[in-house]
Amino acid sequence: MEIKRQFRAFDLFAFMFCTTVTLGVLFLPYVSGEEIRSSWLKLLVVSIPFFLMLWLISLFTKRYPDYDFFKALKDHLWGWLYFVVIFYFIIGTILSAARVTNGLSEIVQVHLLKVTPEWMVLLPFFIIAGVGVYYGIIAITRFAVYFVVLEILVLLSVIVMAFFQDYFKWIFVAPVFSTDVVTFLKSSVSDMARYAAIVPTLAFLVYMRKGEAILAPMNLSLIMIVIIYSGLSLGVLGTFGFDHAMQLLSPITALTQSIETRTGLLERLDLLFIGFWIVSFYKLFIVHTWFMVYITKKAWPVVNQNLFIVIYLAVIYMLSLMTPEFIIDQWAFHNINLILYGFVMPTLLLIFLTLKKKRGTPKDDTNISS
Amino acid sequence: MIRIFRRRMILFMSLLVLCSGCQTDLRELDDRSLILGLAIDKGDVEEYSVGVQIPIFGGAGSSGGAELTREFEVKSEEGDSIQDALANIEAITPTVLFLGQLKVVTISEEVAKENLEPVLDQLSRDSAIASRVLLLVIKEVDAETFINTESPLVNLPSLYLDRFFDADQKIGRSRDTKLFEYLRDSTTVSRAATIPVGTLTEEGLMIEGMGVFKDHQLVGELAKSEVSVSQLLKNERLEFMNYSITLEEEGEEIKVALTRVEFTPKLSFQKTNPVQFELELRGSGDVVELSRPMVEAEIGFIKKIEEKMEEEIKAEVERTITKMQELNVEPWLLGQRIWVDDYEFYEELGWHDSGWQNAEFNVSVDFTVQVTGQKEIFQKKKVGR
Repeated sequence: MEIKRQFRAFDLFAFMFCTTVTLGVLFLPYVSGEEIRSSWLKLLVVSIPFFLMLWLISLFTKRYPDYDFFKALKDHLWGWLYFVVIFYFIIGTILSAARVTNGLSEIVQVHLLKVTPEWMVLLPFFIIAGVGVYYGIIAITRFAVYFVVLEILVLLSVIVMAFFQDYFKWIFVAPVFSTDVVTFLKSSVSDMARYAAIVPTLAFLVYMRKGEAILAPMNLSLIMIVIIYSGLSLGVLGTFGFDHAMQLLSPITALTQSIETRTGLLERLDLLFIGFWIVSFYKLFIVHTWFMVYITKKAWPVVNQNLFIVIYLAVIYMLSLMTPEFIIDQWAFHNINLILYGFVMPTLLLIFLTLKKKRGTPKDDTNISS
Repeated sequence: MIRIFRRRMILFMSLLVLCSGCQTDLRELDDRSLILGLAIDKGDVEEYSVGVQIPIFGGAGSSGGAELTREFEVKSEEGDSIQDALANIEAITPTVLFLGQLKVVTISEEVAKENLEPVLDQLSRDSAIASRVLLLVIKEVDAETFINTESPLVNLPSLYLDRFFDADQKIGRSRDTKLFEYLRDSTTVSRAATIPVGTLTEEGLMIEGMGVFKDHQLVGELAKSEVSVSQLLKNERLEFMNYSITLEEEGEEIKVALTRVEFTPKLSFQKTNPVQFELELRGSGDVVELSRPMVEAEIGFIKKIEEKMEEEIKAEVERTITKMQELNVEPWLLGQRIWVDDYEFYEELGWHDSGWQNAEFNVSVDFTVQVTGQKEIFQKKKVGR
């Protein structure tokens, strides 16, 4: 697999932001079944370990000049363990991609296409996403870069509008701490899963131009995501109150509904927002599928890439059709799996790799063209 | 090779876009009845009688053929649930009912008193209905009669209501309640919320006062002036209120009308049992009309206006509080304040049993008259001949 290292810091920022922010925005803040009032605080607290992970990634890029995480794994892990890790990454990505499409079909069927069967809603989505993956990382990154500014603008304006409406009251936000610390931390664990989609960034690093900043754009991207998640959770809580907000399927949709528009054209701003957000689903889904194909190709260089695009899409398509909606009880399991896949395993591997190669002993980085 | 593949892809994708147009949800605008207002009354035979207000496109006037006299039609049917009644209405209209543009839900007093919860459940579950639809309780007449009444000012009653609440300067009028606001307020610790009240007079539609709900039941009403005071008790700034007082000056009664009256509240409480609330109100206003032309307004007279205003507002606030205490319902988030600040103290008070009814209030009002006229200045004093 020939790799052209061409992306700049802003591309990294856009890529990381775009892979993380989609699903959380629609369903936050109350997604874990058992809820506490101050979910905005949870989202702030649980982001801290991820900053540590980003620091480890930047340390890794200092120790391994080719930035190639999966090649380093192949070099340093035992053969069988390497394949177990790759396999788990693939399974984890398939599961979270299926969750994404499941969420997409849920929101489309509730708000837009009530009668159309799920398979018909998802089929065009999968085909177009497949074409997106076929065009490769350059096209995907361009898409992310174009979209990221618009996405941030839309989200920040929704949040700012929520805060400046008459309906927003701080009294609904208080009390900030309504449980004991243990319950708070226990309930926070599931919210760690919100940031787990950072994983595909590990594969993106390899395409980064040498000498470009790594840590700063990643940190900035995560800070932006944390601001959006927490701001949104606060806005929702202050506008709807805890008890009512908890019952909402998609709080941000309800929030856009509450925003006053004086013109008939924008009567249903919420539906316009959902329409816009479907594009965001494309981007997230394409990145996840690309990631799976990338690591498959990395582990087994002889496989046919296009065949695997079709296989993965077919598997996810079947999986998301089979998964019933409103499976809140099983989300706990899914969330824990996501934390393992998106945080625990990558962090352990990054620590292992950075320890394996002490500072100042760079070697075997010759087979990457720059 | 790649170019051919790309071309095929583009063709394929455009076909796909066409396909998505044929899906089962597609319905032309002509096939839909856009419902702007819903009226929910108690049914004669079944549980509810639901009326829908459908605008007639093309409108009144002589455009093309027969002259139309009305711009809307109201259809109603009964059903044991709102959904049943709507299905029955669909049977008597050629098109499909579409609730995506719904602006107002009017609820009769009877339903509001007895059976509101299932109505709210239907409204909040249906994803087609926006959470910002306005709610209105109709008293004295049926909700259906209310939405069937034309106003010469704005032809469609639903749009009339929408515009009424949208108008910027709500001079001493009721405030709007949106569906999500109602649902939010009724899940606070006091389980109480308010919905504006509408009725029909000889003059037409009238919206005045607010119905007070506890546990989704209409239990009382706040009259016109009490609505303004309500806002202060919620610790919200009150603006653009009109107020009239009567003063005694040298044995003669003088009526004083004030406008642009505004008050800023400051609310606090002391943790005693019963709880003691302190409500400080600072306000100002302009004199617009006197029943006796004031040529030489003395400072003393203005002082009197201020004192009388302070006295009346204080009495108004206290009267409103007593009214709600008698009903044992508290729609001002006062209990919420205590609950947020000190949960144990809130529990100790037994808010719903006697905590609210025994709560004591210390109201102080400070009012100043800003101007005594807008284009003429009446305060100046003549010296000499």
